[in-house]
Amino acid sequence: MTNETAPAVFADAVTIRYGSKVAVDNGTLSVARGSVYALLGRNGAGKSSLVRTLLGQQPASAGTIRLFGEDVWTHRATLMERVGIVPEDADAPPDMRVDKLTRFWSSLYARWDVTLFNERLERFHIAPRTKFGDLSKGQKKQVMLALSLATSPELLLLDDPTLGLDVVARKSLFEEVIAELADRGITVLITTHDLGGVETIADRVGVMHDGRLVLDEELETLKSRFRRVRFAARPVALANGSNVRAWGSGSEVVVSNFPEWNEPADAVEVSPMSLEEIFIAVTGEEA
Amino acid sequence: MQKALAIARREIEERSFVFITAVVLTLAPLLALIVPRGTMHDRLSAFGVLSLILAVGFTGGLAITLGVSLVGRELTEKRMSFFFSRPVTGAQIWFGKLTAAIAILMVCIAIVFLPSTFFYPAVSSSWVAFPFLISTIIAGSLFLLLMGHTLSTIFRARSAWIALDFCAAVAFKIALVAALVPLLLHRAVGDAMLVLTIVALLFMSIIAIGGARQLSRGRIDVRRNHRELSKVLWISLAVVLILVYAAVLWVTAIGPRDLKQVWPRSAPAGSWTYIEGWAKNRGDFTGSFFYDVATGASIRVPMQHVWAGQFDRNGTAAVWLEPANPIGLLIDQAFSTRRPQPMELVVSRLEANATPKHTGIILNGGASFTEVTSDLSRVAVIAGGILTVYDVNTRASLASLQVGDAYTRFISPNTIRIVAFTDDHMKRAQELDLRSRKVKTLFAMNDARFTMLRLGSDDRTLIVHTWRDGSVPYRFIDLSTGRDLPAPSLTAESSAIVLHDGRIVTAQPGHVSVYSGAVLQRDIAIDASSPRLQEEREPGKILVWDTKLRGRSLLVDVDRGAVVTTAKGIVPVGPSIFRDEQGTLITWDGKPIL
Amino acid sequence: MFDINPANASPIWLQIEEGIRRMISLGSLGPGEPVPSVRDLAKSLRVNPNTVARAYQRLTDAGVLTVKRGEGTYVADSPSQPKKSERNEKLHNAATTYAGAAIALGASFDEAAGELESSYSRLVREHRRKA
Repeated sequence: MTNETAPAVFADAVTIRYGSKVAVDNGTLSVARGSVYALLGRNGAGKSSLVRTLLGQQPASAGTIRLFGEDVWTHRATLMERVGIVPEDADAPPDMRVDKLTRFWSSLYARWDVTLFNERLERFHIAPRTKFGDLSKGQKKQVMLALSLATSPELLLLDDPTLGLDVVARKSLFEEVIAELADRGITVLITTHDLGGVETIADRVGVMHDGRLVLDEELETLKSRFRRVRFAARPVALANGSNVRAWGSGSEVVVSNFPEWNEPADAVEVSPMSLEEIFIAVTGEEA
Repeated sequence: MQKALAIARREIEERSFVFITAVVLTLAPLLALIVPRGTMHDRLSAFGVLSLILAVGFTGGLAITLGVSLVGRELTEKRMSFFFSRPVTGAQIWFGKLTAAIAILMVCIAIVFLPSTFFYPAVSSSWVAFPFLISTIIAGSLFLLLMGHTLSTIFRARSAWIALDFCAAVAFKIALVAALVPLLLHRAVGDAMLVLTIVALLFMSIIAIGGARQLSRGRIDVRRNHRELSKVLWISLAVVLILVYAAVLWVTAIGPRDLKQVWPRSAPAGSWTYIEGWAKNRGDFTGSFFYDVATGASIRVPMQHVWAGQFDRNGTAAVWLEPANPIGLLIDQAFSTRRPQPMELVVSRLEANATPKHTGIILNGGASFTEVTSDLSRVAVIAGGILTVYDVNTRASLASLQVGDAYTRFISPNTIRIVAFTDDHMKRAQELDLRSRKVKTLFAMNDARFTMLRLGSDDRTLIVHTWRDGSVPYRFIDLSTGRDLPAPSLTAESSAIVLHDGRIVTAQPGHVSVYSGAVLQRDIAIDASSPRLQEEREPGKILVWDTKLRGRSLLVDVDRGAVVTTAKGIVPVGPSIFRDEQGTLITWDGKPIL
Repeated sequence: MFDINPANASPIWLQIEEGIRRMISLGSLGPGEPVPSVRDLAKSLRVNPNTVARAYQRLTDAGVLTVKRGEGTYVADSPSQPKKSERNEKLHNAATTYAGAAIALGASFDEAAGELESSYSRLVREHRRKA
């Protein structure tokens, strides 16, 4: 695999340990260029550790991570030229004014689109002379997004981007991302709890649970194989289903292999599941 | 480079309020000029002092604060990812931040010390003092900056590994001080300070460069940063220690020939002499040796010995005192507590490859006089006015006697003669028998204020030399009888000695006379207008020192009645050694002894 | 224009495809008219542009849309129309047959509609499973 064809992100059998605690256990995932990958998981599932390691900010205890084919721990500085990051907790210095922050930021990158950046700032209604710490949480993320996109990154990493954003800000954020996707074919990796938000955007979904990547699948395939089936009474035999749960006077069950599944005759209702419902089923089952 | 500078610029902008603070603190002492107390001169003094104090305090505080917040704050507040998410290397981040901190520090120093340079023109205009002071201020502040960073990184990690750093720090300090002890024991305080300064500078360099490695490998995690910094620090300091030890080893490895500006004290006979001086090319490191002028053999003596005695009469043995607790001695010297230090008697044969013998006899404090017998079996010590004679092999005290100021002469291992001269009015010669412990007074003299007693080389003739008008200038007493010996009458200005065989030799301007009893045996003409006799060097040969300006020394053979040799312009410093016009120590033949 | 329902069992690209087709059949989009750019449609529907692109590709392959180099995507001219009327006619005929059968069996309208709904659902499911 040459660097030109290498996936944007490739984590190979990555284990991350803090002392005796295992945060990520032998995880492998691959994000194809131009695709959108949503990494889901409860708090403490290992997402943040994995993200920090994907960015070369901390080393993996085992396994390798390559961005665009290059090892991220040893090539971090050059790779970051091609990566835009909107972190969960904005890490820009709080006392720094936005305009100074911008000047500093732009001096570190080869590419900088000043017009586009200023346009975005205006759209977000952010005054350049404001101190970064004085901005609202949502505005901080918008500034970080604008800064990140102004450098024309090939990979955009959004770490819980909608946390703390109101509906309008959330909408505008996704609009920006979609525009970038359409215009430049960037690769996007989103970690989030807002499953509804990524449901229409993600090409591929990964679910982390207790440090393990329990699911790594195309969203479409995932949604096509999960169904919630409701019965009037308790079914006697079930093929390859999941836990049977009470529902009203009857019961319901989650089917995870719907295409091969033979529907019993007494099924009252077969309905598709939202990504959120699938997530709960997947992680709840393993709990 | 550019990215590092961009980072530096950001850091400076973030801390720009510091410059305002510096200006305010520089101007604040001006208030002292407004306060209506004292004269204008007083107020100016107050201003000067206040300005200097504030400048020093501010600089120190600023250096530490900058050091502690160099990367420490961002690491603890988990904002280091701001830098590591950008296309910059750990080294660029580090050097950018460090450059900014140093720049801020230097500018602030220039600001706050500005009034002082005007106020103390004597210092600021000095080509020597000013650069030295400025360098010290800059170096000191950089040291605080880098130390602040080091401590901040170690403590912010809150890791149990701090214990390791602590142990390593303690071990390092102990090892460093231990390395300096040999220097201090040889009075090389300047060298020791130089070593400490160099170690401090090396430490600063280690941190200044190690910080880049720390950040490159530690990145956003404060504990990893701690680990990486500790690794760099302690491995580098271990190397520094090895270098220090190697340097100290080289400095201390000197021989007699490495000494310059030598002060000698030669044996009464033979070719051995004691020398001490500064070692060449080793700063203020000093050395001391017993040295055989004839063969070049030497025995090393610790610098902090006490030379309270002499060689034995044949020049074949020596005794001295060494501190039993050298570290205690150093501490006492450092704090000037002047406590009496335990001193051990050490004796040695003076021959090639001889090893000094530590007798195990410990005295509390020093001694004013010591003497050893040629067979090394007995040592006499006078301390605090008390004479004690020890048996070296058994360490037992054989006898003890109150003598005051005195010196002794062993005439046999069990018989010792004492010439005591404390009392202005009573001076005497005594004999102590070590077996019976009985003391006999052989000669005593009252009203002896202008009199000096001197025991002759024959061990039995006492020369009593008085220089008061109306008295007999020279008397020669036979100590075995206590009675005056028939002797020539001499003037007070004469110089007189007694030879080993009992003959009396005197010197007066122009001639040397040899007497047997009162009978003149020989008169030898010498070309010396102001002669001084030195003790008999070889049987029958005596040294005459002409003390006039550009004096000369002559070796006179009293049996042949001839002047054997003459050497111009040299001053004897012992039977075998002379100092020539240039001050070099030379033998009789004119050869330098080293 | 039309809504995307993520809760729907249908993949989004299919929903977009059908949405476009519906709009064309309803006459909201006429032949030769431009359809929204992938970018604009993706933004307004809040979906991944790849998804829109996929739908547009299928429609282009089916001849419903045409791409004019450098200008964008447009609704294709006429060719699909005869298919449209043919389809409508087939649908109309099938409906008439069913309605007649239901009336002949004495079913009420509601009964007939209910049966139609369940059969429709079941067949669609089976069809998609096999797709």
